[in-house]
Amino acid sequence: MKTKSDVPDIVTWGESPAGFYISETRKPIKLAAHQAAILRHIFTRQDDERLAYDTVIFGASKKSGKTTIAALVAEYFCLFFEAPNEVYLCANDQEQSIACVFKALAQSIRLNPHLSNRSDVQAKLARFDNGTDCYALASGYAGSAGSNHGLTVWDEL
Amino acid sequence: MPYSGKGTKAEIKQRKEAALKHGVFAFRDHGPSALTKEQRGTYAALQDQLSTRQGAIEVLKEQATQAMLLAEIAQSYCVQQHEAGKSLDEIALLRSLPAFWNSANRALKTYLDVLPKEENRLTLGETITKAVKEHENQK
Repeated sequence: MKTKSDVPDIVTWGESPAGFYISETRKPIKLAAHQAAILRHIFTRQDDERLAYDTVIFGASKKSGKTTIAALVAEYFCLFFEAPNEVYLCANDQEQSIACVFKALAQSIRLNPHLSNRSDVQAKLARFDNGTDCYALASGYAGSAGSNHGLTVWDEL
Repeated sequence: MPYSGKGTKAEIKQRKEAALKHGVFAFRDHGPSALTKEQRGTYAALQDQLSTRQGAIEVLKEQATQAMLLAEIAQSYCVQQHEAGKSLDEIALLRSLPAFWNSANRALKTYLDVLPKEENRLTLGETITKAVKEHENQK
């Protein structure tokens, strides 16, 4: 497992050229101060290297970037948490899941020069060469039974 | 009737027709339309897998694994037969053993060509961490 010292914190990573890219600007994300503070708080590892929370509910007003934050969290987890891992992006139906979080994640990966030849983005699956897979999944989808996921991200429930 | 090994003219004709209708030649000459429903499913899955670089690499990896395993099995069979008392001349498979190993080596070399070079073998997390640190140092 990576230790506190050798993993960049989520905000430093996200805003760096190796970080999370926004499709509109084609540049790394610039987080608002409150978003940075919340994300740092959530992803600060404890002394035992575990995160402080098992479940996080992130609520904000419309068009404030919830979906983008969800995609950023998913990508950060894919890169730095216990690879090989499985991450599931869930929504009310698969179309919605793909249209929202997965789309933001896929675009970020495609725009990131550090990931271009070390990941593979398919229609419903983003595969990283550290062995971690990120799936777009409908919440009612029966095929997820028996998964061994490290993170599930839920949007538009 | 049990298969005689050679077969009558009628049997040979039937086999040739079957190969043309259901087999490799039919697919070669007529494409996916000559496949059975099950084979069409496999064809579609293979097409899907080969549509990405990672998918194609996975196929090469599988082929290399199979070829290596086949060569290992063939070799251990020869050793087993020799240990059981057969002379080398009597072990027919021994003559094909170089071909098995050549195929295995070719498959392995093809797979190695698409693997990232050793100098790039930092893990993904390490690569990204290094890039973030370099960016921080430049600030």
